[in-house]
Amino acid sequence: MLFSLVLPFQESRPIVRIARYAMLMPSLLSILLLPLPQDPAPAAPTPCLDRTGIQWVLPFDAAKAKAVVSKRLLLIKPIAFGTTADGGW
Amino acid sequence: MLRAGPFSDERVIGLCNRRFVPFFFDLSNAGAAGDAKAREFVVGIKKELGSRMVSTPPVLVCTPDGEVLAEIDNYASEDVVFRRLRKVLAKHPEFATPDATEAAVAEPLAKARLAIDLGEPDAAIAALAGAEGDAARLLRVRALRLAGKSEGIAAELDAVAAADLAADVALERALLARQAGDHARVQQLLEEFPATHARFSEARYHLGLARFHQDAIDDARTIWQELVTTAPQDRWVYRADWAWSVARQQKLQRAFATGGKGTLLGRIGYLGRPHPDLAR
Repeated sequence: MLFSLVLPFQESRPIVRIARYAMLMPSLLSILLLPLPQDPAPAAPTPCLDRTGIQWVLPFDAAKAKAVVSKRLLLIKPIAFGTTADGGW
Repeated sequence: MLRAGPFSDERVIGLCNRRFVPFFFDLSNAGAAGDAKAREFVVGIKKELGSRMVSTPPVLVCTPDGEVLAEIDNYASEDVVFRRLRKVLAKHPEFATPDATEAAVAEPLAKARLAIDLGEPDAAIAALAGAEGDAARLLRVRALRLAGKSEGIAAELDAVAAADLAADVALERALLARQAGDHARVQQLLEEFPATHARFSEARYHLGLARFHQDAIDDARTIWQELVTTAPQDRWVYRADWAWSVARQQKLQRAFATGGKGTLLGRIGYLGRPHPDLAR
């Protein structure tokens, strides 16, 4: 048990040590700063690659208009990790 | 994380679709899902999201005028997200009025489905009182399961007569067995699940869980890998991708080896909180 806890951190490569510490301290992720991707990707006509079953309303103009007309709240998920070329995340 | 987690939870999905207007966008206008108007709106209410380096953004629940009524952490659990959504609607009933089609719903099964979507399984059970037939029985089972009431489920399933519902019955029995921690029974019920069935990916996901909890981690990974790489994407595929990456990491740690690149779906990983279905 002791070995399983300690030995991974004796790995010499820094990237491996960092990755393993990050796995054990997930709460740190919430304060990590993420760079926004700056490289343009070709936009898909209807970027909605998500099959959870949630009925996303895109683009924002349409979502806002629907919220006004149907007297609903907007539920907005901003994506900071970047989206794929077809708009998935 | 949200996609494989709370956004894959049937309670959250139902409530989002019934009572909210869900919208996502890439904070970078250069991204494929970039939306300059959304960015302007969101940065107007959360200035810190306008910088080039941002922390993982929360889900924002806001009025069309830009008043933020709730912020939900990106790493929140399924239960937390569901409760927060219900709470914000309870505090702001003006955004939770039934639409015209809902008001006209009178048929018991339709009423029950609506109640389930709204996160009110007890109301669904009440709506189904006296309803006969296999469809009503299966819906009652779903409502009981969501209400956390296992008593009565087995009897309802025993009474389902239609042969073409046998797979649904097997899956519901498996969910009941999983709740009881009987993973061998889950495996027995789901191993021969028909691949053409609408709930096939759900069944395979749970079969993988059953193997995982019997310490057959390689088996579990194989089942999830096959699901993720061959089935059309859906919420169970997202959840399986997360489970597969956790199982792989556990194996790598045991072997003191380093990990591969990303998940089966090409994500960098699922850090932030433990997979809820893999807790032992």
